[in-house]
Amino acid sequence: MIIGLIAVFLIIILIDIPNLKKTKHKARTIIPYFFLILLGFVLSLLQVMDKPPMRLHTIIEKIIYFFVPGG
Amino acid sequence: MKKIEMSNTQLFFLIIGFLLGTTSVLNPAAAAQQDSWLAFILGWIGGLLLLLIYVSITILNPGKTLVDILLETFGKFFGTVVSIIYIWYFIHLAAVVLRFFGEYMVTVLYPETPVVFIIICLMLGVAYAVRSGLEVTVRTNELLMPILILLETTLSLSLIGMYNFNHFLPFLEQGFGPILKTALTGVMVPYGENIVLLMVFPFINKKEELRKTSFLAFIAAGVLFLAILVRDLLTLGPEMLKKASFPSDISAKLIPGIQIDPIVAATLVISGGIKISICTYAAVMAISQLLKLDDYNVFVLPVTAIIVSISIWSYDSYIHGVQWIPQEWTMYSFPFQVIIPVILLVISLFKRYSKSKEHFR
Repeated sequence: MIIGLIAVFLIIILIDIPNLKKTKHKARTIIPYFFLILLGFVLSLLQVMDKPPMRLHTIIEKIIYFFVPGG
Repeated sequence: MKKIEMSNTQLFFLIIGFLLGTTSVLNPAAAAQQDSWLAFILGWIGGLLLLLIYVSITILNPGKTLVDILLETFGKFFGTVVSIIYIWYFIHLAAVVLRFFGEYMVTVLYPETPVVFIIICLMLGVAYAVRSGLEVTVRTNELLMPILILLETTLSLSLIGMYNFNHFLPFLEQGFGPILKTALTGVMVPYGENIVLLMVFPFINKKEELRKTSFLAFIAAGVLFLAILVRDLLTLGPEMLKKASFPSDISAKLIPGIQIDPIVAATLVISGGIKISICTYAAVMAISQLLKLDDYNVFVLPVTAIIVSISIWSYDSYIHGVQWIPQEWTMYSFPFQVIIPVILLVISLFKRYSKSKEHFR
């Protein structure tokens, strides 16, 4: 599964290489692009490995009840 | 950036398709059971006020998307921070809708298929649509929405023989409190989600008709959704309406002698796809505007991958999601849908007033 995931993200990068080469603003494109790729990869990897971080709804609940005590 | 153009008709159907994208699988008003129609109308009125705010912001800042307005209003640093938070909100909204549609397809059509697979397939189509450009999504929606509206109307008329008007009673059995609570959720979901359209409103051809087109679309959408809700209430009854995961699908199965529920399912998935496409488009467009880039295409696939991951990560199950929406999601959306837009509107009005005062000096 992990190999499959790596393959998927490599394919995404391969598809986007022409657009990355064409861009006039390389740093402004490539850095955020790979940041997003890394973010997506890490989130997917944690789920594939069955070690997801705390559920997103739980994180949001904690933030909400921090600002709005009692809900 | 490539010039994008959208006709009034395209915007009209886009708004209906965008709103239908959530309501078709999740209608918060159903929780009010036999008073759901009243909760819906109250939520709709609240949604109309929100739409007035969003359209006014666009009119006061002509030709500017939400990101442009945020940068201008809050300055470079805070504008960037708030824009990044909105990008997160667009991605999260796309992920939540995607998950709901994935669960819908697994429940109704493909019970043996893992939801991840359905979600990935749906997002591949969305990624293609977004990479093809906003005009492609908008034109596809313009073609498909009238068919969907006709289908829902036909479905409602086909079930007239099964309507039981006693399902409206007892009226206000639980009092007004639960109705107001349900109506508030109804304002946020789906009407407050129109905030996403602030990334799309500037591309309408006839900007002077934005207000008229938006309000006509909103009224048409409200009538359509009310008709669907009343149909499901009168056919299934208040208890079933509240408890059923997808009441429209159950209603479609009740038509004697003909099986149209797969067609209903397909059209509902299309409307969900439109909504997810617009949210994805808004997110990648916002990213490219923040970075002052001409082309957003390069960010489509990474953002798509993030949306897929977040849709699985969001919550444990459909039931949990449905319980979460009226409470935490409503509170979580409030700053994005109400607080920040109101601030933007007030500052935009103040700027307009200051400009006109200077003009007359």
